[in-house]
Amino acid sequence: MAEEIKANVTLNLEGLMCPMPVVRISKAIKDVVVGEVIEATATDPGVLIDIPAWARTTGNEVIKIEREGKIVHFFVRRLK
Amino acid sequence: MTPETQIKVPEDYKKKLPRDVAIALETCVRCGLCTESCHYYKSNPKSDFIPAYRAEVFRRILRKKDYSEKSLGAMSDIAFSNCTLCRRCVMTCPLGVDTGLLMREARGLAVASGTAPEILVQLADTAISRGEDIEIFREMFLENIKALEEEVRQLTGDPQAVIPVDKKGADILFVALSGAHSIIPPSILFHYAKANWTLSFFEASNYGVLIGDKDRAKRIVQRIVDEAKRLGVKEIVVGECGHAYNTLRWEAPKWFDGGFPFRVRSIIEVMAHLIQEGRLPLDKSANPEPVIYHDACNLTRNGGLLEEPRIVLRAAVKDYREMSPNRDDSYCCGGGGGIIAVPEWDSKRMEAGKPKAEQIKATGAKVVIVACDNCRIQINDLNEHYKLGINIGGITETVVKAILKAVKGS
Amino acid sequence: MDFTNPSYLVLIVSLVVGLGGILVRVAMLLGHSAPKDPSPPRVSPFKSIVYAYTIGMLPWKKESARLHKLVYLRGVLLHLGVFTSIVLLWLSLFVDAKSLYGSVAFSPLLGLGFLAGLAAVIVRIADKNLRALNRPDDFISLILVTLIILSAFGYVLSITSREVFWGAASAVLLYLPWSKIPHVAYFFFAKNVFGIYFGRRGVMPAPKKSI
Repeated sequence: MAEEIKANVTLNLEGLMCPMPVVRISKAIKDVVVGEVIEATATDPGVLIDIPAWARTTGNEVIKIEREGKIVHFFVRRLK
Repeated sequence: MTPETQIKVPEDYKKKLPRDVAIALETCVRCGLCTESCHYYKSNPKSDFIPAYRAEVFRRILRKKDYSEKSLGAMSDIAFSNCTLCRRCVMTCPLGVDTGLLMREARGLAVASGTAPEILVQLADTAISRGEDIEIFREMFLENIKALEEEVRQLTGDPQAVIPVDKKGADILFVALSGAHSIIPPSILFHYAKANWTLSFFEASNYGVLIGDKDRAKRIVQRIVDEAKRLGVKEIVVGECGHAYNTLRWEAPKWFDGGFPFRVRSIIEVMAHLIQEGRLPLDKSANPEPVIYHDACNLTRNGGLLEEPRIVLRAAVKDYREMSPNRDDSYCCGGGGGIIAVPEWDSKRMEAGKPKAEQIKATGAKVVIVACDNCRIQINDLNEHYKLGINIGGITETVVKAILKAVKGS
Repeated sequence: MDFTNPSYLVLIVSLVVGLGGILVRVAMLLGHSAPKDPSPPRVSPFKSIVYAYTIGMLPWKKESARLHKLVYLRGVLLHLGVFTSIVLLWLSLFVDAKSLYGSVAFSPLLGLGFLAGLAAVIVRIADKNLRALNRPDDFISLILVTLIILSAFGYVLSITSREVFWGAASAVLLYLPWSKIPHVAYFFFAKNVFGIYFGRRGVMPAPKKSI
């Protein structure tokens, strides 16, 4: 359940087209310390794949990602 | 690393450059006639923004073998943030020196030396990662497409409308971008054109090309080529993405021995062909406002799609107008070459987009059609920054509006 | 041909160095790999290369020429002056211009070429954008070719001797392999690449306008 994950930073990426959600997350992850979590919402359905692929590339963790209607809601934890 | 740290660059780096790059390195006589061709210089007439100046920075590094962190960092900054690889300067050079090619090579050297913008390299690696572990992402992709398919059914009013994926024996492998705007309109178009098509699992964009790293670029293309071969398609149709079209149509065949066993077209070419054959029902009244088309550099100057978009728009909108200059002479919007993905350069790209903003304003058009997502993001931002008061749309989306009006009356 | 004339001998040696230098540099260029392009072209490369050398070079086809008519004219005059000097140099190896009927007819081209060269030097110093682009070679090459035009001008008008003309020519030829002057050879390679790149893509010559 989304409310069980405590986010340190929340981002609204709704309306942004690819690759901007990844760009914003990549920037935001540098502003949190290792172990902290970013929660974000986006409307570009591409993030369903792009965010997990980006996390694999950069060594971070997608704790949860799900589609809620037209919104994609996800949590990313900084691991490095 | 300190600015003086020397970065190891292979001794034979210059010798191994391809001949077209070597020609561009040697031929410039620094006459400065390329100066005004650049949108950066046009919006801010600084000597740093002269195309030949940028190329000279790269030439100096190679000539002096000055591979210090400081020099390569400065070169990287110039190659990535002072040039969008639009190649307008090449068209105007009396000798035909390809400064765009040199900047792409400089980007490649920046990547190899670790001085390139991290995010651009990450975006390329993200695409490669997606290709390496298809199974991990497959379920999510299919779930996503199912949701989009539902939207296609609602928009067409046809419960049988589909977005085919992994369809063997399809004629067309359609390679979209990841957003819904890049998948839904083409799906509707193919539905009404009764095309035998299938959607690619992979996105068209290729940050490997934008960072001038041929190895990464090839690995990104390889995913699509393998998919096309596996499905046995006759052609790849590229969605509305400038650099992806330029890459798949013109650049990538050089990286594969003997080229591709299939044809590569842009969706714009497909639409122009369908329109010329009278195979699309179109009602122009769906698009009544004055419309202009922005020539994306990778589609027009570097892609060769000069007339096709005009054939399409003339058939789909009521009032089509031109910006001046246009076609191969068009100014870059300032958002090409990957600069949109580097937030630190946002103000620079707004400044570089001034000539395009002024061009748009001069036409009085209310709608700007953009067939490239990089340009689309940039023109959206220009709209806000320069208060242009325009709406921005895609070309397939515009055609689909006209189709739906003709078919459904709405 | 007078092998007892030292300036003649210097000129011959300089010719070998200069032309040999160009050949070496072209050979180095050809040593770079040129991968085949299997993408199906829209326009035949032959057609687009021909276009690049002909219509594509007309001043109204280039924005740079449209915007800088004087610079374009200056460039044309300078190059005409250089080519006239080369023709004259070739003739002077066999016959003295003073005995060459009509050699004075070269003087207008040489005079204008010299003025164009002189103007180019001044502009290179005065223009802030060109100052940012300049390498020392830009001045050395430009001054040397301007001097060869000037000496040729003096020679055909019998103001200066053939030896002065040969001296200036020798200086250019000896410096040539290390200068930007081989752009005269690179030009053809660059134009071919340019023609093929934009031609294959169907950008040049431009397709018939649909609107």
